[in-house]
Amino acid sequence: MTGTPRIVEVRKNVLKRNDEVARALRKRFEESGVLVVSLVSSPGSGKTAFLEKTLTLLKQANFRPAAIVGDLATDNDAVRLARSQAPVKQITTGTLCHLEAAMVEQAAQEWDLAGLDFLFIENVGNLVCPSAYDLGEALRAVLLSVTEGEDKPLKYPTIFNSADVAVITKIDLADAVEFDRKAARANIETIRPGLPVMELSTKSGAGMDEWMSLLVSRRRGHAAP
Amino acid sequence: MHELSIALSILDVAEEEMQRHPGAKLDIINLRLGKFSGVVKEALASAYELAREPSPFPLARLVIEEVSGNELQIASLELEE
Repeated sequence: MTGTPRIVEVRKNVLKRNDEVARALRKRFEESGVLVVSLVSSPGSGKTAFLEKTLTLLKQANFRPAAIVGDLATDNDAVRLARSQAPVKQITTGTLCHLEAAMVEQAAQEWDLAGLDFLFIENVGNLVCPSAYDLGEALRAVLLSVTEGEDKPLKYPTIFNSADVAVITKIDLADAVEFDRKAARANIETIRPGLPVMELSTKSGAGMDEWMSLLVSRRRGHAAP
Repeated sequence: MHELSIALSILDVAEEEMQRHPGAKLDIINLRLGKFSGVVKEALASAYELAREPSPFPLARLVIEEVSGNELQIASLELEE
């Protein structure tokens, strides 16, 4: 016996479960007054060094930062970041190429969020998969190192499209690798017109001030009155 | 390579939806896949083949419509009642 065929409208986001968890997290983060910043990039762009420097500078300025780091394996990054004295939690994803909101929720569970000013989420080094997953962050920074080439934004438009700020790292090596700043900025502008772009070096400290001001001003705008 | 998680999420949403149609048989899942969704159509199609086998809908087909933007949405289900 054949049944009657019927089409049922659904119109539901495939990642709706992740989106729901992310929405609840975002609300919690906002209520606690913590600015949550996620970092995405390809492996080797200097995410961890950049984050270590950021945590150290924030600690020096008497802020209370913390970090969650995602990696396929090892807790090397968490060990490195712990040197900044900020609380750090490692998420080991195994073979999973991205973090999901539920993982962040679990990692953040034991922390008193109201006791934090900034929470950084370092995603797994990958420019493809993390783009689709909302983690409840207020700010998503995509990192691009000068050694990767100027055309990365054109090759990975999705992640650049989902970001709130682009950070060009290892700018101290720009001359050595003949990095074309103008071309890189133009490529970012093509993919995402108006996206703020920063150039900095974790090693020399160049540009870190601008990054710090962005964080502090975003947090001010974010904190409940 | 997160297409397998995406495929599993598609089946989850379909399963939730099918609870509203007890006794019906799911034939087709119509998916709208945005060019900027970060999901590769071909990879999703093969991941879906793997994912559907142990699911409640081992015979349901996934029909992917490519659209612009970053949509990743189940548009409709085709079923028999």
